[in-house]
Amino acid sequence: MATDFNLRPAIAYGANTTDEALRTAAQYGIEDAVVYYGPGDGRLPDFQDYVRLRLRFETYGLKIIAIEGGFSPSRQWHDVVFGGPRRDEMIEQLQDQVRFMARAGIPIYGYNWMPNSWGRAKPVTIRGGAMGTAYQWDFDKERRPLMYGEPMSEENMWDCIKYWIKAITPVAEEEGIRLGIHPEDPPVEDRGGVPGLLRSFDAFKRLMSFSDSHYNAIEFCQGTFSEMPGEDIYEMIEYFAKRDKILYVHFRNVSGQAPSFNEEFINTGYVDMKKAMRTYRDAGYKGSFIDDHCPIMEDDADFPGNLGGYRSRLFAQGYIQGVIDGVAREVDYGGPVGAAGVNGGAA
Amino acid sequence: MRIGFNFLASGFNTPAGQSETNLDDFLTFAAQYGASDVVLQSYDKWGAVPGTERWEFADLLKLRMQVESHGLHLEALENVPTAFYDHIMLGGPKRDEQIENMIHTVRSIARAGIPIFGYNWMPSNVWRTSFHTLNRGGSKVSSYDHHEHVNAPYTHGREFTEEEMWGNLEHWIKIITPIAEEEGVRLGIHPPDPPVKSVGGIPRLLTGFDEYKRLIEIVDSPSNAIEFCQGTFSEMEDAADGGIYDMVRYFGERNKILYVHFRNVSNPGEPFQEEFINTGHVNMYKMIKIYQEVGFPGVLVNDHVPDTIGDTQWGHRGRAYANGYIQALMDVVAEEEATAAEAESVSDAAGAPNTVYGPDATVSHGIPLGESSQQPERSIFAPPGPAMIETPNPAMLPEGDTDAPTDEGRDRSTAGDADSRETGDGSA
Repeated sequence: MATDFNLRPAIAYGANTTDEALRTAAQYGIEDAVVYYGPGDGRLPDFQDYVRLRLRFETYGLKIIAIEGGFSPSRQWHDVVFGGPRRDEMIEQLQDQVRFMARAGIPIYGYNWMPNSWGRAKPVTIRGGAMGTAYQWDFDKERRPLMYGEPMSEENMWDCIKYWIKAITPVAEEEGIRLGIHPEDPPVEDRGGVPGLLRSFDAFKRLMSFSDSHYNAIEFCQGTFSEMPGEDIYEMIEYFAKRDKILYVHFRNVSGQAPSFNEEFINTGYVDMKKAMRTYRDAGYKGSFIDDHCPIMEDDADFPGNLGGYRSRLFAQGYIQGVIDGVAREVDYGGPVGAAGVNGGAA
Repeated sequence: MRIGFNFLASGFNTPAGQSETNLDDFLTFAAQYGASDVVLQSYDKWGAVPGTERWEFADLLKLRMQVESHGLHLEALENVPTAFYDHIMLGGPKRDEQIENMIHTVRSIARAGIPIFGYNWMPSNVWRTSFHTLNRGGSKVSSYDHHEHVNAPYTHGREFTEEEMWGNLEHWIKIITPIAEEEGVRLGIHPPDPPVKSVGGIPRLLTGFDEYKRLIEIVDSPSNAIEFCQGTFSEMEDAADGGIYDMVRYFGERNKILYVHFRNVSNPGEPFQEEFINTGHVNMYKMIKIYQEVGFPGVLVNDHVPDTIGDTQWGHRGRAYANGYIQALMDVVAEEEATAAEAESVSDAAGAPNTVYGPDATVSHGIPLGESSQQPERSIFAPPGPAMIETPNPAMLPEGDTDAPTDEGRDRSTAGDADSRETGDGSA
């Protein structure tokens, strides 16, 4: 039997996902689910909403390993992001949300710090006529209006995120729920006058410096990290995995780095996914990998709540499970193991 | 090592509603999901290749050109209708006539530029006892329990002996192999699925390691080889205790594996059930390692998959998943090989370059944007396909016994897929 590294396949859903989507995961050997939910536009979920959500997933044998969302793209929370007059009142509401999740049995809350949400521009055709989303910064810059009529200050945004981290981390610690932020996607310096704050390796080191708590961590969208201009994806994986800052991974691939790139099939992008998986393994990361966005394929049926249909997603799932099995088993068959040795880097 | 899909190409002449997928749709699917190759079957009356006794060059050429129009390579044809050669298998009165026709068909395949022809030696085809065995999460798989078939009626009117069946096989192999060699096409036989000794009065013949050794020793030729259904080999009793790995290594080292049906089953011997690619008894990572170590140059197809919620009858979702899994294992093993080679030596002078793995490998990473699929080197060394399900051929019944004895058995025993398609086809 192969050594168990506890690298786990996972899948992501909208909160109102269907019976078919949930049963698909159960049949294809997936036990970990990430659910897009939490504070955003409109009504705030209460404690019971989170409990009901967890119970529904558990009836399919799925464990919710994280709630993923983001209040930051919604203007109603921008006092937190940019430091408005109602900031403290809003932070109290968000602290309550984090408490609700924790007490409902959700171990991780992943969110983002993207007032513009995520962004793409003109899609491209990839293998066999499939479609991948794409981004071209030049194209976006020419068209996107200023969000607030004038460029926003990057240093002010840093102050605000620091203020937030210092306010929320103690609550997360007390409740036992780990929090992590998704990088800016696309990782460019500015969209519509709003700085893309978390767009580089250094930005995440800075974010981690605001609190050295175990509960201040990263929703590691490997896809977005690999879009960051000039950065070495394997180095970033190793750096944050060794410090146990990676909560879970969005395991997808892209053609290249910003300012222009397109999404790719999981094994046709520029990132060597085997090497990436070996890096997680050797750095001692234990956790889940979601398939995330997948290409749009001919004749595929939409998968509710995510980009890329059932067939496309299951191809990625098969690949993820194959890479996990392969890099776990190769250890017993003399395959390559990092210089640090198996689990040598684990904290 | 390359990635392929296999498919029943019955799209052309299929009456509306009889087929959920036509050939062009399938080829688009294969190309998008990263295959470089396809293996096609055409054994039913709506098949892409017309003909009730033999196949013609022009039809096969057209088929290959259609495949290539999608940037794919037609690696093999798998199976002909059983009625093309049932008298050859059973020593029937039309044996010589069928041999002439089969020679014609083999020549047509070769000259149409298809490097491999895979067939089987199952006059009564594939048997299962259920297509609805519950598996993980409520998925359904096929299964076989021989106890349910020990009393199956004769499918061909009487009990045939192993020795006469071997005699028929040897007669055929000795005739066809030199012709295949001359034409530059490789032939290989799929194991009987399930690999039990006998069912319905017909010995299954190629049920184990020794039987396959005997087969390839009838004539020592690259054109006398194996359509390696790894799934069926994993069902053999000989697959137990690591035997499956020994068999792959043995035949792989002798370059007898034309192409592979890369699927998994619950256990060696029967009863067994089919499984997801990564939940059966065979360690698929180890398998890929062995194919790589023996330098297997051909194609892996994912073959049967469990029936999962919302999927098509052919199993597009299940096959996308299995294909993703196979590509990942190939990528992982290829990388290992490259790393090991790097560490070993910087000298590139010695030995043949490994074109199977490594940075320049022909492993499929899909089609680069704006380019067509890589064309694998056309080799005369290419293989055949898996046995799928057909109804017994009433023409083989003894005179006067025209009441098909098999209706009862067919319901329970032949494949579900084919059942719905072939209802009423028994006397075609």
